[in-house]
Amino acid sequence: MAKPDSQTDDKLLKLMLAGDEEALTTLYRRRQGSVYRFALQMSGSPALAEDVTQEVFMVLMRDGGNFDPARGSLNSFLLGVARNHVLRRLERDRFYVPMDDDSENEAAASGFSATSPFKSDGPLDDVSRTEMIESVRKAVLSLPARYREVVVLCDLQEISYAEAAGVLGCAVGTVRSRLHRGRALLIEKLRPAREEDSTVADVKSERCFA
Amino acid sequence: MNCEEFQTMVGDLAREQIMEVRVRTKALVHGASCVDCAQTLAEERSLRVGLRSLADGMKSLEAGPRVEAQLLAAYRNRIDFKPALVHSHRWLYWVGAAAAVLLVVFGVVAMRGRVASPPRQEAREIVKPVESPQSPLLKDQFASVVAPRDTPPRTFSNPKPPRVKSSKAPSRSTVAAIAAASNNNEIATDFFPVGDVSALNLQDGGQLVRVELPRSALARFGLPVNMDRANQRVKADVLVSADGLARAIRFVQ
Repeated sequence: MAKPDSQTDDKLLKLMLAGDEEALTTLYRRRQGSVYRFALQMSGSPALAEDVTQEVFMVLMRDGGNFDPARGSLNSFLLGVARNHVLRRLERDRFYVPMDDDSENEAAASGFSATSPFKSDGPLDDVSRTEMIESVRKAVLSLPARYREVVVLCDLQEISYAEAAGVLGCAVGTVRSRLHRGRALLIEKLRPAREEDSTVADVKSERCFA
Repeated sequence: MNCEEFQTMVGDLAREQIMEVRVRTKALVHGASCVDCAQTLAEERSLRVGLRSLADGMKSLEAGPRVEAQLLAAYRNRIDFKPALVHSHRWLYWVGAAAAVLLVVFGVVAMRGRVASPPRQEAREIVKPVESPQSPLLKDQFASVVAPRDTPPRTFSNPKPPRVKSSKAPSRSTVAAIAAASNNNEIATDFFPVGDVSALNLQDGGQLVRVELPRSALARFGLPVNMDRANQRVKADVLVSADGLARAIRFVQ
């Protein structure tokens, strides 16, 4: 019998539903990262993201038989479940205001570290990159949910438009238009920060009608 | 390519999505010649870099080991009752299916019984000609079908079988039927005509309505009255035509 690590998600799911604990462990370790990151990028809360991750796999244990491989990948299925749980939690928690609004603490709480994966040209470069990433993270979190989810799926999770459409249960065209709008909003939100930092003199440009 | 077309594809251009070479070249040429579009493309690319950096920074993040431990614990507990859960679902499914089949069969049988049963001939009888001093001509009109004394009263002079009304409020005929059904051992007189009676009035159908009258009303139809009990009330069935007027009456004891 093949090792669980080398088996497909569908096969692992079947084994898990049949009572194979090792299959569950393999499947969880393979897929929990994307689910957790999606929930974290949608909510900005590590605690909520962990809760959602746990709930998603509980759903998989309970209703995994409902998964139809013909309708999409298991990853899409899990992200779809995660999306429903995140939106439900955000809707439930919208009346609560976080007590600590400090950006550094917030970034630390989210588990985000900007320094590790990048090449560092110097301390100033690190600082500016960290600030830039932090401002992007905040801008993403401030987007309306319908735009945030497509930005997270397509730009942060880097899944295809078709797969994102499967996760969100909408047409590919809807994904494209929401992504376009979401990115425009992000640029709008990030523009003041960039303009402040810009040392280049503004050049008045005229609209091109070509 | 104009600005509007450029705006529709600037996102894909910045994300370096696959597109036709010709379209991509046109877009880049336009971006180089238009200041606004060039700025838009630069902003999109800058945003792309920021988002990719954010994604890279979060790539190593995962749920804590606590989650995995809790899931495994839940999985171990769940395995024990999972077959029973599936079995109960199947059991519910079959019970529901059986109930649905029974309901359909019962409905079909009830419908067929209702359609197939002919109008009760035995429930009809020719009423004896009413020998009333007031109106001898009523023999003809009362030759129509009228409910007998020992059967529930029903509409008459209507060839169709009686319809069942779906309304919950009891109709007058229903009340009369109930009253008659509860008194199958009653003794009744023949019908006595009341007011102006013609055959036309009765051809449209009518109803029997159970009423109570003073015993003295018997004298009006030529029946003997015990004066000692003149104040007591006596039951009567009033034949009401379709226009709502009383056409005949019989006394019941």
